[in-house]
Amino acid sequence: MAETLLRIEDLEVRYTARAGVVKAVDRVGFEMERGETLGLVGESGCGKSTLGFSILRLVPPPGKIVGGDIIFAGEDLLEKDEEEMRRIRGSRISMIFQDPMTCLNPLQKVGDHIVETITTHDQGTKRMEAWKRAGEMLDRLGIDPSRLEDYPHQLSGGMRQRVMITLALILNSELVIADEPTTSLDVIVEAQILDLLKQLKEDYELTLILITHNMGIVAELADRVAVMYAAKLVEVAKTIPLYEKPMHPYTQGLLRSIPNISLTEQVLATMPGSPPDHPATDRLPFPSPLPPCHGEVFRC
Amino acid sequence: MDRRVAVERIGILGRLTSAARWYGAEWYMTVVGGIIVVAVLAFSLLSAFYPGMAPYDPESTEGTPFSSPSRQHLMGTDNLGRDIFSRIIYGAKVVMTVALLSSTFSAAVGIPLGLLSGFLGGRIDRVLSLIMDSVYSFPGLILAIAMAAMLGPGVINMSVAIAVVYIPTYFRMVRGQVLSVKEELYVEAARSLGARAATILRLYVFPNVIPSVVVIFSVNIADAILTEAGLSFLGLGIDPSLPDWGYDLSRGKAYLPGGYWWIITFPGMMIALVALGFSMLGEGLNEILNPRLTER
Repeated sequence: MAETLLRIEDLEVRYTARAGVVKAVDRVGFEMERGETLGLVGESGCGKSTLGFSILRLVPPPGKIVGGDIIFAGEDLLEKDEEEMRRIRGSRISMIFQDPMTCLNPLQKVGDHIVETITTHDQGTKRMEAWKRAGEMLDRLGIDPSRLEDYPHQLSGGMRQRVMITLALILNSELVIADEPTTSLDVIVEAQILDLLKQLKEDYELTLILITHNMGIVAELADRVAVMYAAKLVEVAKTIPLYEKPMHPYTQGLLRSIPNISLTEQVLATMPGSPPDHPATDRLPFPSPLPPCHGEVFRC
Repeated sequence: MDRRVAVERIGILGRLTSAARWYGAEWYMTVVGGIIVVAVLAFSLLSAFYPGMAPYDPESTEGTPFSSPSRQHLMGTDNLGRDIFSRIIYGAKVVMTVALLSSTFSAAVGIPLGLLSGFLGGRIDRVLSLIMDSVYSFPGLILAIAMAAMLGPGVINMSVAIAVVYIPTYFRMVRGQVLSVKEELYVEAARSLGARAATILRLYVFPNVIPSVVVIFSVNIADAILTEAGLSFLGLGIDPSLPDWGYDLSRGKAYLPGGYWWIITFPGMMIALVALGFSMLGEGLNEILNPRLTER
């Protein structure tokens, strides 16, 4: 058994709005081993991005982590002060965002982004050296190193996402959180980026949290899948068993609603209801998490 | 195809030339404004370092008082027989000094305060905004008059008096921009990669705020010239013997009923022209420097 890299216990994140309190993440817990890829799926608004952000402790205000533990490599991230947290971000845990078009500073060269990330965390590095390293990394990810001199608007969406991946990987982060990394890309570029991630996973033994609502991506990349619904994890299981035999009715619904070219039915299965504003009070079409002893990883 | 080539060009010159192709009208506006501004700046610099530039000494009697424009005196002479053309050339120095100094003062105070206020938020933001808004709600010229009367005459004092009026303009503009830039995804991304708050402010927020400041700066200079003229007109300006457009304008007013139109007309035209030049330059730069307009 590999070592546990990340353990989240009873994590609870709330958004306090004038209209009331929204629980975006409600007593969520899971574990990840080093080198593992976890697919975090669920519909829009179910709290998966908030969960991703809370690992970096960057939940946008008015969101707040109100309870639980995030144990990363044996240390509780919720007990770190802001400066320690800042040092972890980008060097040990980093994030890849959904929309590469707006993730890069339009007034900074691509190379400067990467150099800045290197020198922020490793102040001994000389600029020239960092620049060289950035070029090598870009090259490995399939972008010509001369592109370091370019500004973000001169790159295509796929290239920008590669730059974002470079930024996340340049310091050998142990944990990478990819928040819908391919949602805003077209299918061909999406396939390229997925191949790239797959290869990087092997090359760097990445531990990856893949947040997405695309079940196909999950099937391709993830070792395990966590299904999130209305701020709760409803099912966590190894990928293949989950696809073969989903336990929770929500997971069953999710899998049914994947468009399938071989099906003759004209109407695609849809999910009843929409994400609740107030999970505590709104009535949901699906029950809460599986009763104990159902899902494989829900330890009994 | 043309557009792509243009985008590829790097550097300010490349950006300006490519912008010229896209924005006909704005481009001409910028050029005309730029020529006026450069000409006036050249005048003011030359008259400071090269006294023999004007045909006459601007501060002594050089001809018959009240002589109308002629070949000897291109713009005529005033009530003391001083050559108006020479006074206009030398007057550029005072006008430009005051305009540039005051705009620099207010930018130097307003921009950092706006950055801090927008970036930090919270109580600091509320207090600063309250102060700035109360200054802003004052009628500009009245505030400048009060400040000038309090500080006394002199180029520096007048610049400070005018600067106070325009600080809130920079503050509000910068603060508003910071508030929107702060929410951009690239700021979030930088934070998730562990960038320091100071780095985010310096490399991510500030550069993305600057284009709008450049525009305000040149519009502000145009405004400052008018305010300076207004203060001099009211007798709150500089030493009366120094050539100054605003002061000449106010003195010339007394002789207008006697039919001596040239004493007041030429300084007035110059003020209007320079203010127009700076406004045109500012508006044109806005079109050219605004990245949202150049990228697409």
